[in-house]
Amino acid sequence: MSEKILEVKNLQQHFGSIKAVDGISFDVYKGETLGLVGESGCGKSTTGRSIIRLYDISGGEVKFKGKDIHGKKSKAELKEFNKEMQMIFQDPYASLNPRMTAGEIIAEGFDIHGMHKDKKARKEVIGQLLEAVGLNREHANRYAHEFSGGQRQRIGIARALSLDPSFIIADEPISALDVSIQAQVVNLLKQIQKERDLTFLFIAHDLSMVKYISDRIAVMRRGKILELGTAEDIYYHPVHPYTKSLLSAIPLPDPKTEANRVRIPYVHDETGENGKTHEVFPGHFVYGTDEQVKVWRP
Amino acid sequence: MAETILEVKDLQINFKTYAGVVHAVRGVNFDLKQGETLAIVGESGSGKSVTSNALMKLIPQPPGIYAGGQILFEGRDLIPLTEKEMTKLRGNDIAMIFQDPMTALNPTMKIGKQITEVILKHQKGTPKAAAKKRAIELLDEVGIPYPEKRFSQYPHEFSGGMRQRVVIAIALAAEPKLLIADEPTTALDVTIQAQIIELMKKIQKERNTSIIFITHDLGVVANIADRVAVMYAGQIVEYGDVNEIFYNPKHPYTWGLLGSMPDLENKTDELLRTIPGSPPDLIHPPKGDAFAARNEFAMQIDYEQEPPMFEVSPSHFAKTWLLHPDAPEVPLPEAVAKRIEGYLAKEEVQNV
Repeated sequence: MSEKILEVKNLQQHFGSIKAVDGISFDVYKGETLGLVGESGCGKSTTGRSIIRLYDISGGEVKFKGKDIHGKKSKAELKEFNKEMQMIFQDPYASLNPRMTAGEIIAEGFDIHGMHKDKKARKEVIGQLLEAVGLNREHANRYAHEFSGGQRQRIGIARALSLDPSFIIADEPISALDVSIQAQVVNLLKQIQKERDLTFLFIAHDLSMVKYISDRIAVMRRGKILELGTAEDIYYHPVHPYTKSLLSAIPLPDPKTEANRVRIPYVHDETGENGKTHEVFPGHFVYGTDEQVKVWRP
Repeated sequence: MAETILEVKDLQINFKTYAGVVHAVRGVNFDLKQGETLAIVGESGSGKSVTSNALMKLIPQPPGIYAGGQILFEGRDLIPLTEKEMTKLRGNDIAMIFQDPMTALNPTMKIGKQITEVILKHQKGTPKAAAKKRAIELLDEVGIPYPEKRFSQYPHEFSGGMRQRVVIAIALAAEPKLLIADEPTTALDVTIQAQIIELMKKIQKERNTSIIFITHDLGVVANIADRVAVMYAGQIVEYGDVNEIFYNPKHPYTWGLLGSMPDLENKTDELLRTIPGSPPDLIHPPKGDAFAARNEFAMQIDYEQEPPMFEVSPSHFAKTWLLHPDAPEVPLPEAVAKRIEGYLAKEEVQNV
């Protein structure tokens, strides 16, 4: 396995008495896509936002390339970190400033980091970025409202790529898009990952898309990671009953399978205080008490 | 054979906007039998929601215009009806479930009152106590625990899934014959979605309700539909039994939709099939086949003349020139064919 780019240790994010993220740990390896799935309110978006420092964390540690993200930092260090880690947001309608052109949106980071000061060179870089995400150079002068949802998401991706980051957090980047447009954006993400040697944290609730794009998957519920493993392990050999229940609820475009679908309800068997993470198979982790994991283990 | 409850004939709906007249629904035909579920599938802007709102006569006029066609509900055309006559029909005979359970309920009114309101309005003369009893029964029927207690709670005290159950309870209150559900599960998590769909199927079985289910999720369609209408640019481009649409799709747009969903058996190094480009502008609908510009199999005629509905089987139709006897043989795209083969093979294994 390649080197760790991100290490999350016992991350906690509390809002008042609500433990949105309740002590989770995972690593992300260079060049992989880690999918983070769960239902609304499970803490998956909060996790992403905490990692990129949109929130100050309540406890735990996040290390990026071996350095603590949330520790005290000089301005220069912060700038360097912000260059390395970027985010793609869910809502392509809300995440682009309506008063800026696509070119200005993409180039905003250049001003902050003092890059590409030469006007002509900057125009060239913006053009290249637009082309990299499947848009035209001419689009640089248009405003957000002149684009469709899929095109806006492409601008969001171009903005995330503008500072040449190594790690991208994509928070539900396709859920606001139509099916055929989702496929276009997912293909684009896969392609740029290959071309630019990027590492992704892909946050979503659509399990079939997550399975498709991820190398490994972490399943979250109520602020905890209940199961983590390779995409194949999670899909074909789930161990935690919650994962099984979640998988049994995905409808497939296959009427005959659907006619016989039996949903597995998640019978609440709360883990409580004594839960810990068990490695049931190499690289396949399940959260539960010793007794629970003994029962669940195949 | 079950009775036909709804027949839509050549429905056309336009909207007047500053930019020009938008031809949102351009000649839609379908019918629905008692106890049957028809799924209308399509992307945003395909006209699926406009069609369903039109059935309830919920298109605001202006800017909307019923430009042509008929909506025959139990043989009676709804288009010429006055608002007063429609009010009698809505809720009583036809009820609607909307996408967003967060906004479909009145936040300042207790859940119980929102249900009894419907009962008292549609079954005039019902004593209040009886209406309350019926409302509690309905809450129980849609799977809300402690219905007596829940009766006097406000919407904000309910979760998303529970609110959608309340919306369904309200829709069922007057025992409609036709239930129109416009993306009722899109805003919900998968496990909640599965519960709501199970609930709708159960209710349909018990009451023999007809359902029109509007969605863009093909998985949901495969689960709930008896028949499927695929809409594109304001028209139905393919129409047939659920098995015909999923195992023998004929329209390139349907191929595109099926191909753009990740297959759980798919190898991840394969890119998804996509439909290039985006839907046409319906202020100036393109000449010929509206899908031509995005269709890799488009022929010369697609840009010149609109294709008719070709019959694939007595229950299966598709609007593409590829089905014309003179058209070249175009096989199903490999990725889609492989996937269907996989599904059918799995079925055989299960049957052995």
